Amino acid sequence: MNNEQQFLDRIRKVLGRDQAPDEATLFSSRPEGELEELLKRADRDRAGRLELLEELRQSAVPLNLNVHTAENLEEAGRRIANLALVSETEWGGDKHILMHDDPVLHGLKLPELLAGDPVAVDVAAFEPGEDELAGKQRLRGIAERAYIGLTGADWCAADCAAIALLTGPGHGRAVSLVPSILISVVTLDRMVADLSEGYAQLEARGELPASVSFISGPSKTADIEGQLVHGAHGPREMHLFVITG
Amino acid sequence: MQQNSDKTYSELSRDAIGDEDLHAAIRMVQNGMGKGAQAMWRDEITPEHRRLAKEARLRTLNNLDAVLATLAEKIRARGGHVYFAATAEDARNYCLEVARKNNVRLAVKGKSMTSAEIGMDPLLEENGVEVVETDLGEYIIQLAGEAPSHIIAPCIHMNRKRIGKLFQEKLGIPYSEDPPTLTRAARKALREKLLGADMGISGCNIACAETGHVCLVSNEGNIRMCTTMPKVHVALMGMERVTATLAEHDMLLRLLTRGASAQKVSTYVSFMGGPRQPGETDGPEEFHLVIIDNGRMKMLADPRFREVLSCIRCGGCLNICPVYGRIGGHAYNGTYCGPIGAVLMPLLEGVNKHADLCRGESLCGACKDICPVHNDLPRMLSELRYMLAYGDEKWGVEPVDGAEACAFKAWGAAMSSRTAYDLLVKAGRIVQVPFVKNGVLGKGVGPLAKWTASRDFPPIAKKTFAERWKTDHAKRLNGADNE
Repeated sequence: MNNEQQFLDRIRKVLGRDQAPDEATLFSSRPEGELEELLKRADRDRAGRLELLEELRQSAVPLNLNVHTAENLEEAGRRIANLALVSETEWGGDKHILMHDDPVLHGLKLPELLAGDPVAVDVAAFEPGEDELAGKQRLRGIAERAYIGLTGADWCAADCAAIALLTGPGHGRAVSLVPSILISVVTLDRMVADLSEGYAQLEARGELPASVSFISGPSKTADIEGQLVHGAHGPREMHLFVITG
Repeated sequence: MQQNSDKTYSELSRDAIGDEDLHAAIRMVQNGMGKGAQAMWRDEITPEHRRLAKEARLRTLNNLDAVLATLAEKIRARGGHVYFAATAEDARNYCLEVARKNNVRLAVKGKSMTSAEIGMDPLLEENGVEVVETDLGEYIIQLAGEAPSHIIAPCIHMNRKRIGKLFQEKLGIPYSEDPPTLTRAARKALREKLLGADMGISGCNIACAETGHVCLVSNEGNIRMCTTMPKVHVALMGMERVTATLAEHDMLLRLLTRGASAQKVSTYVSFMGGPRQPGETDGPEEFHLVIIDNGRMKMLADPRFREVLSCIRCGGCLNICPVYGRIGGHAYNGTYCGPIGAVLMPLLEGVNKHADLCRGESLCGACKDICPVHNDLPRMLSELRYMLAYGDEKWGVEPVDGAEACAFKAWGAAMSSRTAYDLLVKAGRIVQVPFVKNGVLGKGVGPLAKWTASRDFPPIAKKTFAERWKTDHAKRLNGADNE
């Protein structure tokens, strides 16, 4: 603490100030009403959101992000189950899907749809009464084996095809990171035009969780002679299902 | 601090000027990312956006004490640790202490220039910690035992053949020069490390004080891996890499990814503000943020250089600079290269030590044009040259060449007196006669010889403009010039 005080005092000294600045103005850098304006803009009607969906389709192409639309969760569930059946595991072993503990994802009814197939569906949540560190180990093992990770999204920005994932109980970070294929499901009402509208949604929440990620497409690199290659350390493939109904 | 070579900037750049492969590689980056960023400034980002972003950067710097205090408080509220390090040594030792307490044997790193700046890796390695770079470019460099040559494309100086041979030798895979095959091999090798590591070390692109997060961008996903899977995450942050509010973060993030690689947004943008919270199923058990001064306070204190701290390290200036384009990153002989390096390295390590570097850039202004926050690097380079010419007590700079300073002082005096100037011109015309060949001064004498070694000097004209003006204008006034 002492160390910190010395450090901050030195800053104050070199800035030629003898007291702390007015934090009220420092932390309200937005012009008055801008946040409200952004939130209002993001609250568009169905037609407006369908337009954003079209924009999303286009911005997803160069990112190698596959955008699918489904009328409802049943249709999305069937198509995700099919995707799971035709996709191969990257590191060998059985087929495991690891999904966030999320009402929308439960609505896909994947365990039922895949009941007769050799595909296991696990939920990234602690079991009742489970010790957290032991549960963490257990779920990590599943994440490392899983070939598909399945998440929802807090919002999806059309102009850059980025989704936002906020961590919390049942919304682990590894699900969207360690498996080879990432599938995210977002409902049409979560579409925003761009990152600024997305940031405004985050700002309106007040406190944010310990970790927030924006993800736009599969992992990629261009470190060898500038040639673009997909699948560096994160998922090699990403699918985004937009539920339009 | 990381040093690439015992040679000086002048020697290294002389070597690089003959390297055609290097020029081809940099051309590719400059034609792609450099031109891409310029197009985005023209088509998508308004000048107003860049002006506001710069304003926000300067406002944060002018209130850095309050901004950092808020950042630290928010992170501690989530159970994270924050350490303020005055020197590189403090920062290194703190990290080593964290590693020791957690019995760390393997540390994985997401690309962090700051860790190179403070010399993190050697200390950990001396203490029995294996350190693995996980950004593909950085990993290639590490396998080759080299240093990065670009802020965001660290191994652009190496071609696929060299990388293929390197992987064959170090990873034991069959030779290939196919980038997807090589990337897959690295993915496999690094996945083992990423999942087996005890500690993850990252830098920080832009922290956000209001929400209490460091924020990191990556395309590969290695940074998310490093900061999610190991049980300890240590983030290293230069004290200036922070915004006050989320709204400002929005503004700067867009400039960062566009300036760096002409992307609207990188594949991953991760905000991290603490360890795993109760009920969360993964994430590190310990989170440490190290906020580093290591010479930045001195830049903050000097109004001539405070502005350089608004740099968001996009590397855009490298992607446009004609000098970088000819000599590559290694010639700069320090952690930070390109035009931004030419200003930062002297300020971090000593102006006299990097005297050549201060005088190497062309001052063409391209770096200022492309800089998302309009950092006036040419102005700061001129300030550094001024210091080298006349000395500077505050920065402990000794004048490099006393004779040169005297000559320029005399020249300055002559320029400000009409009579002295005219006399000097007349004398010069006579003195230059034996040296003029083919209409140019090809070989100068004395201090002028250095100038003319690589360029020709125009001789003093038979009649200077001022002399012509005097006679011709007088004629015109008298109406004698009516042809």
